[in-house]
Amino acid sequence: MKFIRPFRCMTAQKILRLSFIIIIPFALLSCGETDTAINQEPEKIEFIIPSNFPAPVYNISRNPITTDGFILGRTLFYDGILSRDGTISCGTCHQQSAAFAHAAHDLSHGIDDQLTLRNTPALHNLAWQKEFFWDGGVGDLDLFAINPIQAHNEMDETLPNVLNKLRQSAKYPPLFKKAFGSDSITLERFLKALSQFQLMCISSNSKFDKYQRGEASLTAEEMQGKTLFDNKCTSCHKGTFFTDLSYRNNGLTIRNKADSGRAKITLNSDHLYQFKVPSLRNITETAPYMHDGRFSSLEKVLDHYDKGVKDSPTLDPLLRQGTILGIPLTAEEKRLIIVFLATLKDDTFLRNRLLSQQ
Amino acid sequence: MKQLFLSYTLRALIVATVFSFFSSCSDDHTTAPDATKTGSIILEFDNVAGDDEFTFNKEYTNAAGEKFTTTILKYYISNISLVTTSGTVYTVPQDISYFLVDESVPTSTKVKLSNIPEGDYKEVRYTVGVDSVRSTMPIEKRQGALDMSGQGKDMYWEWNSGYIFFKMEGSSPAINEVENNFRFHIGGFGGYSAQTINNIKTVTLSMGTTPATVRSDIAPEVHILADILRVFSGNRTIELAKNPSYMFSRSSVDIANNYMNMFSFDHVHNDAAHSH
Repeated sequence: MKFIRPFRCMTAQKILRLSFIIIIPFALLSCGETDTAINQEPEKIEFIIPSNFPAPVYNISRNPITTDGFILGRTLFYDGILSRDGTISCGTCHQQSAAFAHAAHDLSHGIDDQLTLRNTPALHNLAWQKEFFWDGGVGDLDLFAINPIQAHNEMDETLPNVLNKLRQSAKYPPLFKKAFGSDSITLERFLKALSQFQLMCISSNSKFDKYQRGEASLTAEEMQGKTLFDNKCTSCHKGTFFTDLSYRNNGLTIRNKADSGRAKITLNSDHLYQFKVPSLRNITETAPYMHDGRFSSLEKVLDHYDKGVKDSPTLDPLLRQGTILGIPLTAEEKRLIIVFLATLKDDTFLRNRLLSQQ
Repeated sequence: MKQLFLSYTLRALIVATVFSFFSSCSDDHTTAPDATKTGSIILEFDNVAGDDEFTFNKEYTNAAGEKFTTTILKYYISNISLVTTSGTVYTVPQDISYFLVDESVPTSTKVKLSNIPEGDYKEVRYTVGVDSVRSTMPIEKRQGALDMSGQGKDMYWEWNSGYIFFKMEGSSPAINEVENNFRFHIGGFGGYSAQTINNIKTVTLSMGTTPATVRSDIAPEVHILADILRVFSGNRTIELAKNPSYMFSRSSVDIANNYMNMFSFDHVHNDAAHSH
């Protein structure tokens, strides 16, 4: 006997719109098992496209998401075994409460307390991303995790070593068997399991989403902020994910010449100091901001667009209107835009136990 | 006497004819290719340095007159095609057409291709590197030499997703730096969504007058020389003292344009299949 347990505060009709359908075997609940983590394990995880989202970029048919694949991926995501000395997991820098960004860290920290070049990006709605990292160096979610694992200032491990450690562990061969039918631990299975977890990090229940689906309304101030945002920000932060997925130079002063941004990948000088336009979902939770985390608050970000934009040969043309650089904003306009941005916070996502370290 | 002479002449002629018949058989492997049958062929990539055998840690001199020794040498050979004397092209199925030739792994220098239709092959074509289509394929299509956790573990850029097509490292007293090492990591398939360098090179080698006669019982071994001195010269002379490091950069194109011409056909053995 099974029953469906919807998220707290959700009506039955809304279950259909949920990212997860959770079915808990009744037997487990009644068998006197004391390990609550096991009791709470869902029996069925499904990838469901929220009604206000477009079709995903990731081809799910290549890597069908299963409950066991998701659990394996989540276990790997939170396990330091992926790093050389066991100290750094994906979850070290990608913290759920910060929408899987790294709260209060400008540059992300790797192994041996080393700093990386850039701020940890938030992870959500990755099935709708076509390229990864601030410079878009990887074009496939499955290949994305190889970078932090092998980067010397992040996890400093090698793929053969990671796989061998997993093979030699007591824990992982059975998890791979459950997920993929045999305990053979291959790179393909390892990366696909990690993708399954990351693909399920869907943020689609912010107040703004509910407004879009006609389930909630925005306050007068939030609507004023939305109108300002639509007029001044959506050339770049457009669509369902508040990004056009492009790479742009937004007029930051150059603090680290070595980080040429998109030009590192394309070797094209027209792309110097361009970085990916980030999604703004959960933006109130992902401070600090910009590719190098230089701004500690949204107020400082908007001050930059208002008065801080520096000219350069690759400055985005949208930030140069005649002689005016940037996007002039009054203090009240900034305040209202931030009021609107707060509607992009998705508490269901930020607190979803299924996505947490178990 | 005359009769006797004639009979001797006749006998000699007969013997000569018989001999020539037999010898032509064994020289030309005159069994015609049977299109319904398959055999194997081996492409041996023999790394050399000019007229010398190439070995790690042995000193050679490049075109710029710089002495150098080598510790790593490996490169991808892929997308192999064979062309018969009549012009028919046989292309090895793509999924099994990726090989990593690694000087430190002796077996890797002999690329064995199986299920090749019988034929007299006069030309071999291949890519040095990994084609752009495969370079963007999903993880399940990256097996064997392309497995980044296996053979391909040191031949992949994880930060800028793509294979390193050609890798050579060593040292040279000409390099006036704290460490006098040089590193060539050459790749670049053209880019996922924005155009960038493309160092994919194709090579066509003619096997000259003696074709490789693939038969079910003959597995020819095609001996290809790869002259690593050519990595430093040809299109552009490389001076290690000026730049000892070529990785993902515009200048890497110079190295690729050099090494694409390092291959030459040397000879073919049309030996019985069982000898391999």
